[in-house]
Amino acid sequence: MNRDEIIVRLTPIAQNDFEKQDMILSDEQSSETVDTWTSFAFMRFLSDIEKEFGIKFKMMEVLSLKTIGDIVEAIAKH
Amino acid sequence: MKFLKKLDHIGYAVNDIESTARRYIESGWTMSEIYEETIQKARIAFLTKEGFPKIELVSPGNYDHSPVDTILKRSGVAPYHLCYVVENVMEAMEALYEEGFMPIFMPVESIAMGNRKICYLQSLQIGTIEIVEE
Repeated sequence: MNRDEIIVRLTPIAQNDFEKQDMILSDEQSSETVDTWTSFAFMRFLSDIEKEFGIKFKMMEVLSLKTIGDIVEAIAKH
Repeated sequence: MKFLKKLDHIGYAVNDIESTARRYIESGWTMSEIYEETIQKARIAFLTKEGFPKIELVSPGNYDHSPVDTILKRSGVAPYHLCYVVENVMEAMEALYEEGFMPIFMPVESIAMGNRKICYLQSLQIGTIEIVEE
């Protein structure tokens, strides 16, 4: 799966979990730049990604995911 | 959650440790010294009184982007986590992750907890818990 395909499928999940219907994803977005990126919203986001992409993140992997770019890269590796 | 051995304390997000502690001290509670947890970006103190669970007061202090700010914005001054003693933090983290808990950061040593390793985890069903190595 390439980056563009991942972004297309990731965008509605992010818009829903971060409660921003007009959110356009970019690699550098993180809890520092998205005001609704709380730890609980992030947890819902990762859980919904696992369902959408049929993957399961490893615990150490989760701890390294800080930005949208990190998440896209991690999905691509699965 | 079988790795959780016993309750250690109730974590309480506060704007200002001294002003919240004063109300407890008036009712016979004893406060520890106040610890600066630079890694966690928080100030921490403990309140104890015989017959009651230990309370941890956690304030953002003067730290930029303290996670406590987010909690205070969401819930105001309020209890927000339960802390449990575990035998081994990493093993407990792995087991809790398999049960659906999400770790918030890698374990760190907490000055306020005698340099024992701690970690925070969250679950949509259980909320926020802290684990501390015995």
